[in-house]
Amino acid sequence: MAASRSTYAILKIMRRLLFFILFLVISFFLFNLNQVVAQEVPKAEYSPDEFIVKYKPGQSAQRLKLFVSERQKKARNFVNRMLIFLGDVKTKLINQKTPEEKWLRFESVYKTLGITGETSLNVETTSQGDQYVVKTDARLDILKVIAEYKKLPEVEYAEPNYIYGTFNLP
Amino acid sequence: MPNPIIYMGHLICRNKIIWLFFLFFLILAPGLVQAQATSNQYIDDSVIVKYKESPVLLETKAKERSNREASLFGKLQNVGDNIALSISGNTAPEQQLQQIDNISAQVGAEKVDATDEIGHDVFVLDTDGKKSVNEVVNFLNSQSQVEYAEPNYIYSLLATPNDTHYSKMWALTKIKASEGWDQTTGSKSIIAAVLDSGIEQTHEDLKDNITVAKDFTGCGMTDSVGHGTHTAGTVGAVGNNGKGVTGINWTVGIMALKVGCSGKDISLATVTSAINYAVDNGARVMNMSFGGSGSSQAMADAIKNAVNKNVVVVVAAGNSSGNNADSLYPASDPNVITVSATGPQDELARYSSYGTSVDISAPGGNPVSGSSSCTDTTCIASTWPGGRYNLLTGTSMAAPHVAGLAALILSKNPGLTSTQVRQIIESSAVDLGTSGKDIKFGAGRIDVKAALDLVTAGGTLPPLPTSSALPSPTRPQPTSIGDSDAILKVLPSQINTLKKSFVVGVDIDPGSNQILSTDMRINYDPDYLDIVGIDEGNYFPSLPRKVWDSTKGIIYIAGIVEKPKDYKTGSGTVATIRVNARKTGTTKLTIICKPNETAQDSNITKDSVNAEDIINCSKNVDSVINIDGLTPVPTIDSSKDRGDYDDDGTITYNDFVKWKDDFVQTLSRLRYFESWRKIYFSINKAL
Repeated sequence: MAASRSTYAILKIMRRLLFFILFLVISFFLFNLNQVVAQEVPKAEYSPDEFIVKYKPGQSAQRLKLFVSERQKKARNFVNRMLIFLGDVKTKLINQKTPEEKWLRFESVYKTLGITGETSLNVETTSQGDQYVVKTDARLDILKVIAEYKKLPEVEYAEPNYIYGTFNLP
Repeated sequence: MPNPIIYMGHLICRNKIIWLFFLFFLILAPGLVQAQATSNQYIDDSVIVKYKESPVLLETKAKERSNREASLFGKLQNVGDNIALSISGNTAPEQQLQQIDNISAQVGAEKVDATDEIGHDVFVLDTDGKKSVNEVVNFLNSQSQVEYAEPNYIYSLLATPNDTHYSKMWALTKIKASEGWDQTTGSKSIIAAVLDSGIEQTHEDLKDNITVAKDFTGCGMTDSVGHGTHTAGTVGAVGNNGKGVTGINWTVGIMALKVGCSGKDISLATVTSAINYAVDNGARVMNMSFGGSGSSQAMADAIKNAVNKNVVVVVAAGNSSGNNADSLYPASDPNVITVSATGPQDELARYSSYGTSVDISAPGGNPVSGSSSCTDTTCIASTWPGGRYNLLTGTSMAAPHVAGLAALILSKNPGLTSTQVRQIIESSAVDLGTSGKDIKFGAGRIDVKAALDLVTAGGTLPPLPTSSALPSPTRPQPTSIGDSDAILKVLPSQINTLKKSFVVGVDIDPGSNQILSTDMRINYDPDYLDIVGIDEGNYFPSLPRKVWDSTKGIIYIAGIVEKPKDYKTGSGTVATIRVNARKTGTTKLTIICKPNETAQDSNITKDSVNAEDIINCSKNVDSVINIDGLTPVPTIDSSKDRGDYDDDGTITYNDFVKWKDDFVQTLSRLRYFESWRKIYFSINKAL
């Protein structure tokens, strides 16, 4: 008698379980039909070979390149060469880097990170100067490249070239 | 075409009976009115006339002449006038006035006076109705004193546009657009930038409203996915043109900026460039119906700059259906207006993202499942490539409704700041969901009428950002605007003779035109050359492109081409310099491009690319381009006789300054004698 009572209890539980599973299945179908299932936010996408950089005001790589080439031209003149030399001595004394050294640092960073070039994001002059999109040869993971590039003292910030999509339903 | 609202106003004050009759008619038979909205309606005994010479002005002139007649001197003046008139073949003001009165009498109208004037030299003539309006109009148009005449059209009440798909645009009814259109239907001077997948520029329902179209992707301006054409149509498809759809603005200046080729490849770089471009080129509103998970500092900077320069930035919340708008960008940017989407019953659309970032909501459609199940009662109708129309749904469709409203508000009062526009949109919205601002609907669903009611008309445009070159309404509108394009090619042979580097100057001579904007771009072949910088006096090593503040008239710019690699000989282009100028007037612009005379000197220093150098250079005048593509105009060599630099026989201060510059230039070329440079500086200081 006691045993049959316990089997009855088990059966009752099993029946409840069955109903519960049935309810789950039905509700799943219902929700699926209505398409109300909350969507996940899309994962951040970014270009594998490009990133965005903002330099500190007036300290972009291109500006530096121009400055260095100008100095090299000036240095052909003896008087200028002397002046530049004295200027460099002064820079060294206050423990700073000369433009040439800064440029060399850029060049070595370019080489190790596989950077092939950079283009300004301002199609014309604005107050929003010194924003560039930098292109790499995609040899290294772009996030690592960005982390390395950020270490340059000229860089204000660097971030991936994120990819966005339009918000219409297909 | 004069503003329909002027007509409406006129109707109210001058033809009260007809107005009442029409109102009566409207109340009794709304169905009929709807049907008639598409056909041209006009008042039977009234026409609109523009005279070549305003009768009001003629009358004052005639009065002045008759007053003068009293004195002897005045009499002589009148005789002189008459002689001048007879020589030029014109008639005296009295006679002209008489002719105009005769015309009025023949159509059974009273003498025209100042009370009939409804616009600039535009008058309304109330005829006796014996002749049909068509006859009267034809008769008037055949008269020499009349510039044009047209029927006094009745524009449907509540400004319902006659566009064929208007009845399917439930979203516009929902946001009370037609009630708002009684106040304004938009203005071409308000530039609304649409950052999207491009636009179909030839679409019959869009082309008249497109002011600028620009590609930032490199895959061409064509809209291959349709998204951009659709959102632009919501902001400003041409309204009341009897075809297709209407935008929230019937007229607006759409600046279509292409930032993605497939719509799913919109990169941060192109968006940032496009935002910066829009701000500098006079956009007042910006719509961005896209986003993703990448939160960006560069875009945040650009948006902040835009809002500070009075651009209203509108962004779609996202289609991830749930409380997740805060993790999407640019939806979560604090400076933008983030828009969630509603359906036909003002319910939150099932796909719409929401969150604390949501500021406002607008119709975006709410079909059972995606755009594939769209019907014209659930989705948003707008323009589509191929001259077609399409129904789409998404927060992408909701955002341009808000951007359109922002442009409409600005057309009523261009003096509002971006913050004021935002406040107006939010405070006039119909509160939905939880009372007050909530995460699903923001301040509520937009209401065009309520928003425009909050705008006090008038006001002037605040000063545009400095580098903006677009005409603003505060300036007199140019009578005609011409676009000119010039392409200058630098050939390899020229580089060879110029050895290592060269500098070019571009000199735009506007003649009698006023230049509105200029745009120069240098394209070059990196196999041949390395372009280091473009310069306008200061070094600016960035993209080889520049837009000038055009008011200067003549502009100098120098490009340095340095470190040439192995030149290929023969034909081919090393670099092209393309100059595009928007100008007033019809006369030609002359663009002169000349390599600098110091070009053969490989030692180019900063001083040698100064603007003065370029204008003084005359030795190597290379090619002169007449941008209308006609015969080249020879340039005059600048005079080298020291003392009188403009050959007018007098020596002025300017001549002296020119002489000084020339002298200093000569000195500076002797580069081994640094002491000369000191003389240069001391002379400069002394002056």
